[in-house]
Amino acid sequence: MKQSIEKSRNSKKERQNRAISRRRFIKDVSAGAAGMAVAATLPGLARSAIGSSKDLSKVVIARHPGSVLDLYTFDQSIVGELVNSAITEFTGEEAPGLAWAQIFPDLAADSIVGIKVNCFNTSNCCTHQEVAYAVAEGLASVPAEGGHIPRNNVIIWDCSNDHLTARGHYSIYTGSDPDTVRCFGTNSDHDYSAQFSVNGKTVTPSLILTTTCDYIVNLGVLKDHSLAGVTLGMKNHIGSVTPPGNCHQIDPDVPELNDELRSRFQNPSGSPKEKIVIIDALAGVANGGPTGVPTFTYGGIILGTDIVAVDYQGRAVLQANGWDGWPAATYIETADDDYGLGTADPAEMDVVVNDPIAPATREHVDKMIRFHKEGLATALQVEWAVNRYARGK
Amino acid sequence: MINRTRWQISLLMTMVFVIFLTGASQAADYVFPNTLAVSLSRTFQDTLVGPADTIVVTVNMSNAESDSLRNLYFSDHVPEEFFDISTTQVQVNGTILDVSEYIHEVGSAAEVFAGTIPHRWVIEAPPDSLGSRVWSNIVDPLSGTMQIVYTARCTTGGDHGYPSYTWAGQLVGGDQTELFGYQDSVFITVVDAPPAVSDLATILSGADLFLFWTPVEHGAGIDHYVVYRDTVAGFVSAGGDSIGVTADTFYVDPSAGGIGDPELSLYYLVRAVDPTGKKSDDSNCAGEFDRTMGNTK
Repeated sequence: MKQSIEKSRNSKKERQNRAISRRRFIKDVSAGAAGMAVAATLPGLARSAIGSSKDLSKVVIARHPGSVLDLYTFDQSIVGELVNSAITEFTGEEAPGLAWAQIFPDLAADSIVGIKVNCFNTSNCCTHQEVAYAVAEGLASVPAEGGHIPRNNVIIWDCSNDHLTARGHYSIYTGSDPDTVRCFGTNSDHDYSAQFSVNGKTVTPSLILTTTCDYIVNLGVLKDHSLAGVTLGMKNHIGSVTPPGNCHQIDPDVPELNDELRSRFQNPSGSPKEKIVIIDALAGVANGGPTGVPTFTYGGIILGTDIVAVDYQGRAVLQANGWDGWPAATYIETADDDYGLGTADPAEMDVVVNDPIAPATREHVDKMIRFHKEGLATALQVEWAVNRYARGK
Repeated sequence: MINRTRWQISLLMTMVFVIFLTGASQAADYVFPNTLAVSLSRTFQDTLVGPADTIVVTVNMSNAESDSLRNLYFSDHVPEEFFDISTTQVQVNGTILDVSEYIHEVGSAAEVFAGTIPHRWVIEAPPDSLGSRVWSNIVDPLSGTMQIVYTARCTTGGDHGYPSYTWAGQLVGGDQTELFGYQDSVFITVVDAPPAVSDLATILSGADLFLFWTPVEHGAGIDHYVVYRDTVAGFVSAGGDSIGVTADTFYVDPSAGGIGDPELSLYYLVRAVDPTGKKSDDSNCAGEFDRTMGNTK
């Protein structure tokens, strides 16, 4: 039985059929995120109802120069506001809680959400904690069953505790304090019952991805990569399986891996666990990756639901900041052409660049206080707004 | 205008739980973080007012923390029907500020809450890109205070919701702490004066004079009636004696004294008074008078 499934998955015709329907799905979700949720729930009707101008993959690039103090130091308040700004711009919802709820419409009070970070870099350019915890705070602002999901239901994770701590400088937490985000690596907890093949090579996914979490946020980092060309959202998932070397024929292994993960691991509502892709673009490694030192600051967040479009835009940012274009990261195009994971055609993208994001006015702070009063923003999110206002940024 | 129904629907749609404090002049402030000794209250001199009344709002903040309170501003989200919003006084640490030492700015309608216009009092503006501050009023540590008094008017009858006030600042000392707070909703009810009694009548009850009338219907209710007496027909209440008050719709004047005396006529009128103290116009005038029937051969 397993053999026949593998055979079917490797059929090019089958793959192309899935590609078309998946791309359509991604675009519909993106249009729904722009405020057309009803249309997006009716994929067959959505395209004609929305019209061609809306049938684009939305990507938001939000930047603020004050988010970066230097290559290694970041302002948590401004980074937090940057994440809020990006998600509210993407969804069209002003309140953080409603914006994140649009990405996770079925989130329940007992849902577990994993934030997959990339802590491979050995030179202090892993997914920065300031971004990871701002995303966790966003999830904590989502109304769920009369309350909010506890922060403890959010797990920041990567392949190992060692990578998280020694490279990413995260603190491991596996306790049960409802107000504390958990953070731990897969370590040796792989799901051998869920093994699958990537272009004929067997990989074993993390139990965190297959079993522990109901939903996944893909939170990559902006880096050059000697094998892949770039490492952004799609390649982040090489850290979700073992051995990673079995995916090192990057093109087409990376899109194949992402295709398999989406198809095999779904949330309780029957859709892929991964709901959003975010690139931490505070600082980047334009050359010398994946382990080299950061070479430039960007002070940005790149965000979308179309992982291919997000990676495409991330690669463009790297290119504009000194990336030499080699290897060419063709897996991004392959992900579109052969796997339909999204679009690598800029004509099919709606790219919104807020550079910089709007300043924190008293009006903004008042609105954030109102959202907190209404249970749609956490106290910490309001503090970030107050702090940014008080600094005149 | 926000009437109460529209207000409630609006809040339900946004999944807001609001405690209605109709009639309350003051409520507890939410302060984050709530373990700090910083408090703020907003007091309305009256939440039941008439169209000619001036609404007086007083905001008091105290800082008992060991750090200075800086970058402070206060926003009141004033119902759109209110006008003539005017700052009476702003004090910081007991010192009255000149109007040039703070900012009273006005936002646009529905900027934060539907149906309201934000009025913000900026006690200390944040520094500009060069680090300069336009205004620099620091609420002292330990015993610092801030007070804002402003007035407003409203001639539109009904319930007007102040959805909340909001404020933000920072305790600046060893560890900078961002602070903010808000309050639950308060309704200000604007009512007209009660209508006048129109059917005041008198009858004799033994030696007493019995006055009675139909109850006045009034949205804010009637607290009591005031009874006036004079010896001149057609007198107005301003010139007559107030001989008593009653919460009932009758009044017995046991000390009329003039019954049967053709030299003395007694005239009465009443005025209805609502809970805010507003009086109706004078009622019709009713009275007792005696006449001598003489033979004029």
